[in-house]
Amino acid sequence: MLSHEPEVRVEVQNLRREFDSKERKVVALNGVSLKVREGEIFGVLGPNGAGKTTLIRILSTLLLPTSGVARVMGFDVASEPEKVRAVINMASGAERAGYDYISARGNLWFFSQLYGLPSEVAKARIKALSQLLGLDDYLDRKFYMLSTGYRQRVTIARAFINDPKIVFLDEPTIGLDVMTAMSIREFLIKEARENGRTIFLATHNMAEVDTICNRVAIIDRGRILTSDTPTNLKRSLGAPALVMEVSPLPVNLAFLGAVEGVKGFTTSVDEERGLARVQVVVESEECVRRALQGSQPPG
Amino acid sequence: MRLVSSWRQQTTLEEVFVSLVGRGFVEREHEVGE
Repeated sequence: MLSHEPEVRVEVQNLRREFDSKERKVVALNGVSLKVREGEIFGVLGPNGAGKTTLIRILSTLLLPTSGVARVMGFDVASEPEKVRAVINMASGAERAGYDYISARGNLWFFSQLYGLPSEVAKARIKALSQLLGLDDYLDRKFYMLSTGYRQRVTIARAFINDPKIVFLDEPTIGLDVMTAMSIREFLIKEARENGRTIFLATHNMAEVDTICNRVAIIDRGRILTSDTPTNLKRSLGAPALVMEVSPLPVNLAFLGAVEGVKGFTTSVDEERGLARVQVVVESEECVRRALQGSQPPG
Repeated sequence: MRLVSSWRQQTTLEEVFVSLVGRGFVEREHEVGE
């Protein structure tokens, strides 16, 4: 636990990023502002194409902003990228982040040397990270011989090899089994709480955000729609959701979206009972009646 | 479509997400389809 006021480690002000395509200009980020502090796990949620990866690429100096300011540990990502790179690291669940014919240990060693870590320091960090991520028995296997889960553990270890102040993770547990995803999440919580690391996490996984993030921003079409703790966000909707079980399985529920006061809905199927479960987010109690009426056939 | 049962439950993060992003997302899907 931190014994002092946590410092601001990521500060973004009115960040904009445009991409030119043949037909039109695409605005990937449109006036994004946020602050993330020491020891925080900050989640960014958004649909595909919302701007999450663009934001991470700018903050990790892989992409320049069109306008606005982004500072990491006080360094400007556009004018001081070398200083930023020295204090960060990143990993993506979608990339194949190691060399197949080198062992897990060899991969970690290679990346430690890219950061110029002295031999003894690198060995000690590989040992410590391996223990924390349950990699001990797999360190000397070639990367391609590891299962998806263990490859991802190596990828996560790689993202912490340089003792970074901030780690950017893009879908770190995508495609992993429940137990592997859990152990990676536990590792991330420990790194944030005990070592004060800031973890900036882009994900589609709501349960992951709910479990490990101190704060979350919901982003869509390049804008932050809201940002708060998961608990406060859940409280912010006010009226509890309405759950309806309907039969037969509906082909099209688009009409629900048109009901006044319905903010949105999700569906799932209970095949055993031959029912569809529709969870409707409503503005108020009054909307519940309208949504229920809307689910009934006319007449 | 017949309503079998209904009840109220505590909002989840997924529902917060849907309430904020949902309508715009549906509109975009239509735009893509057009």
